[in-house]
Parts: sequence; C-alpha cells; structure tokens
Amino acid sequence: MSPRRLLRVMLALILGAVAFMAWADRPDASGETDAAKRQLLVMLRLPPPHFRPDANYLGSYDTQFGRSARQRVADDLAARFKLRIVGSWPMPLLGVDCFVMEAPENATIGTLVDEMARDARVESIQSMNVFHTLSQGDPLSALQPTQKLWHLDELHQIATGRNVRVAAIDSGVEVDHPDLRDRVVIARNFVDARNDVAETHGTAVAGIIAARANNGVGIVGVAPDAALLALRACWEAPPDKHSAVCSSFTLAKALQFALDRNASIINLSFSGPRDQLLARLLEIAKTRRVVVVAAADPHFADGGFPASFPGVLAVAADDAQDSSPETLLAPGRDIPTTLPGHRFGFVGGPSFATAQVTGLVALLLDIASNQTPQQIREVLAPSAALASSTRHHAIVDACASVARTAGTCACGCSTARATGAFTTR
Amino acid sequence: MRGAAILFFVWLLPSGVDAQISGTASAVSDYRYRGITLSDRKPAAQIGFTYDDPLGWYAGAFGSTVRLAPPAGVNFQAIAFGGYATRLASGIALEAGGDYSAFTGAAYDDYGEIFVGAATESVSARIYYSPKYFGQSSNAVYGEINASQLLFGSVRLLVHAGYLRTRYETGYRTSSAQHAVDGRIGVGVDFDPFHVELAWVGVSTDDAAYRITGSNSPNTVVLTLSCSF
Repeated sequence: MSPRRLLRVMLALILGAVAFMAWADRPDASGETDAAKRQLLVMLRLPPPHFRPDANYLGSYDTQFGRSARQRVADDLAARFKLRIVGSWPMPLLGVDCFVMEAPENATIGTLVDEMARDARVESIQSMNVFHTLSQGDPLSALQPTQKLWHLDELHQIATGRNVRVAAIDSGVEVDHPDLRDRVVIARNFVDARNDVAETHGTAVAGIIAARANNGVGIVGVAPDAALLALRACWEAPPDKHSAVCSSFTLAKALQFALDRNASIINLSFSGPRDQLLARLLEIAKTRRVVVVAAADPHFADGGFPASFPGVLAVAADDAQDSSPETLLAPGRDIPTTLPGHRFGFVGGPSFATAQVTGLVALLLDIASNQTPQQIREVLAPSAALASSTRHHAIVDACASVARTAGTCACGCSTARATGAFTTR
Repeated sequence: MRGAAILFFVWLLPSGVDAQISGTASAVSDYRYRGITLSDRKPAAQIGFTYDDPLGWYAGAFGSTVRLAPPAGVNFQAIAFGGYATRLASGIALEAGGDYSAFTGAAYDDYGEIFVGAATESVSARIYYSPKYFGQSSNAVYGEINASQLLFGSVRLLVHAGYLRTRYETGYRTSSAQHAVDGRIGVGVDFDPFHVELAWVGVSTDDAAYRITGSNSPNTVVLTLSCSF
C-alpha cells in the first residue's frame, strides 16, 4: 500500500472514530436523579504532568497519557466492591481523576464509603449528592419591574459589567434568545452530550444577569455587558420546569471549568448537602479571589450548602422570614426575565435574587476589578450599617454599593447635588 | 549518567500500592525526533512505560526502532528518564528531571540531558541541556513550547515549537548551523484506549540530518497510532 493511500485510509478511520464517539455519547437522561443516589465519587490521584517521550512532543502534558493506570485501578476497585463505573472526569485543579461508580440497589452507601476510604489507592471518596435550584413555582402575576428598585438605568451610566466573566452554573441556557444573543461567550454541557439545551431555570438566571440593553426587546440584565459562561450542570426535573436538579459530579466539572477559564464571578443558584468535592473547588476559588454568589436555602438556618461555605456571598429573597444576618437580601419576587422559546416571563425565589446580586457584583468589578470577595461583601452590606440596623439584615442597596465603589454619586444625583446631601461612604 | 539513571529506577522500585504504572505502544509513519527523522523517513514501532510515585517522583523507559546509516541499518533506541513534578495551588505544574538516550549499534552517540519544565493543562514549556548532544563534542540547549486545545468531542489541536542551539554546530550531517527551529501542528483524536494523530512536521534547516542516520528530513506529514495500557 502506498504511503498516500495509507494516509487516506487512516484519515477515514479517524473520521469514522469521531462519528462513532458522537453516536456513543448520545444522551441517556432517564432516571438520572434516582441513579445519582446510588452513586459514589471515587477520586484517584492524578500525577502532575511531566516529561514522557512516548507521547510525541505534544501529549506529554496531556491528562490522557497515564490514564490507563487509573482506569485499571478503578476497574479493580469496581470489581472488588461490586460497583459499576458509569463515568469519569479528570480534575487537574484538585490533582485527582474522579470516577463515578454506581452501587447495586441493596448496597449501603455509607458502609461502602467507609470501606473504600481505607484503600490506599483511593485519594478520597464521597457519596453523590443531589442539589436543587431554589426557584418558586408559583405563577407570578403582578407586573413589577424589579430592576427599577436598583435604578439600573442610572447604574448603567457608571458601569455595565463590561468584559467581566460571569459563570452561571445552572441548567441549560437558550443562547439564541433575542435578549441573550451574543451575551454568552462560552456554553458547555456537563450533564450529557447534547448541544444547545434550553431550560427554564438557566435561561432565567442568564437573562437576569446579562440580558442585552437597548435592543428594543424584553428586559435589561443587571450587567448587560458581562461575558457570560453558560455552564449546564443541572437538568430540569419534570413536571416542574421552573426547578432543576444537579449532582456533585456535574457541578464539580462545571466549577473546575469556570475556574480554568478565569471566571471572575460564579453564580450558584442551588442548594444541597455539604459536599467534600465541591468544597475543595470552592476553596480554590477563594484562593484565586473569585467571587462566588450562592442562593441561601430557606429550609436551612445557615442557608445550606454552598451558601454557608466560608467566603461565599449568600443571597436570599428580601421577603425571606428567617435568613441569617450574614445573608444578603435582594429582590426575589416578580422578576421579569428571559425564558426558553424566545419568551419572557416572571420568576421568583432565592435563585433569582442571587442572579441579581451576581449582576451587581459584575458592575462593581467593572468599576474596580481588583476587589476581593471580602471587599465586595463589605461594599454590598457594610458591617457598620448592619450593626446599627434594627432588622440586622443585609439588604443590598445597589445604588449605595456602586457609589461606594465608584466614589461618585450613582442614583438621584441631580437632587443630591442640588441639596449637597450626597456622600459616597 | 547511565549509572545514575539505573540507581534512580532501583530507588523507586519499592513503591506503595498507590503508585501508578502506565504505558503506550505506538506505530509512527516517520519517527521525527525534534523535527529530524531517526527512522530514515520510514515507519517505526515504539513502546514506553512510566511509573508515577505518589509523592511526585516519576521514572520511565521508552524504546523505538531507528534506522541508522549503513551498514548498521535497523537498530533500537532506548531512553531512560526520571524526575520530580509537583502541582502548585495555582494549577501550574513544575518539574525537573533528566533522560539518557542510548542506541544499539552506535554507542558513541549516546547522550544524557537534564531538563526543567512548567505546564498548565493546555500549555507546557521545557528547557533541556545536554553536555554531549548526540555524541557531539559541544553542548546543546533545546527549548520547546507545546499547546493543545480541545476542538470538539475528543478532537484536539496540537501545536509544538522547538529551538535547538549548540556551541559549535547542530551536529546535523550536512549543516553547519548553530541553531535550528522545528515545528509540529496536528490533530489528535482519543478513543480510549487508542490515540490517533495526524501532524505536519517541519524544520528550519532543509538539509538537517542526524549524523547517526544520515537521512535528510524534508517537511512531512506524520501519522501516529498509539494504544495506552
């Protein structure tokens, strides 16, 4: 066979392999949530990348090489503990290769975790946790343009979140929605292999944060010029299209991606049990001074996880009854936003209050990009003001926050200037 | 240096159960080493093993068929390598190590190198220093930058650029240049446990050839098929 013919045959094989992989990766979403309850996340050590002459020049730092060793360990663990490997994902930020293993229905997950943790080959292990978005499914009727409470038009004279990278880890976003077109710079699906999955919760969160301004359509996002990373880690849970569920695994993949792509802000509009894997990634986010904004779950006194994680900005709707004093309060009802099918509608709940604070943080970072999460929190809810408040609740005042950061008047400036009443701090 | 490599392997052998051993077996349409053919522009078979210690130490061995200048003909190259790599909190990995390359049928061209490198998940850089590159009387420094970018699915764009500088000459048979640039750009596809890569390889010195082989290395397309185990 001539070299040219050999090359043609090999090229055909490559293309065939790609087509086969696309077919093999087709979605299988049936029973995902139930199955997650029987799954374990088994972390195996991922050695740092290093010189390997067998990888040509290029693959030498690729996680693919050496993966067979970890696959062998995972296969052995699965056989020993009677588990089924259902997926895996390298997490170089944590130095681990994460394998998802499913236990048989009669297995006791807690016992399995304890036994496998004693195996020296296992770097760490945990059960798969399930998280829920924090939206309210009630139909919302009253037309109440929530943005007006924050005087968005005036704030946008000062900042629009230009080029601030905001990662929304949520359900799928309708990226070609007329009010979101060109706002999503990166869209990734960490749930299955489908492209362009448009779901209600994710599309609503995206619109609140970054819907286009002055396009004659629909609404304006709190940060209309922010660069949005739409990372699908949650999926709709029928029959309620307003809510979605996520797993430790999908969320960890998306979190790692957001950190890898240098997101300045990460929006987490969901809640669930404390999760070891996610906590490790949030610790890295804290080290890198990424602002993480999370919805506080009203069913937990501390707001649940990840809102209760140190350094995370926890946000509740301003009509919340028992929120922690540490929790930021933002408008949480009757928020107009984008919905799949090129539609608009009203939503409410901590999920969307969180998205609004995320947008506001993007404005603050647009004004001063070097602020730490702690400084952002102090700007949003000054501790001195909180101590003197009779409600002891940190109600977010967008105008005051922007004014503190910009050092200039933000809202009602003509009146303030006329009376000389304005102060920035 | 050969003795040091053997001692390093022996030191690593009593490993913990959490050490990882992996390998690859490959077939290449042309074995291009830093842009220059070591297989007379003909196919070569290769195999490699790597051992990763839990603490960050690593060691390995690699072998490839090579085609030396007549009358030696088809022979074998073995590379032993080892070092230490660590991942910083920032996600950047740093490493330092060494490798020793030996040829059957051409022991004079055996040589050792030391190197340091840094890598993120998609970009890496490394600098090598050899006091006796391919048996030459002069030392040599080689620097490389590699990058990979996921295009779609498991299809990656792979890019490499390398720069070799020697004190006297590159050691290439017919070239008197003291430096040479090599480049490689290709597409790789992973379909576990296989990896297929199609890449264009070029070098700035048209008549470049390792003295050990005597084969010139015009720019070409190289096909690699690997199996990981």
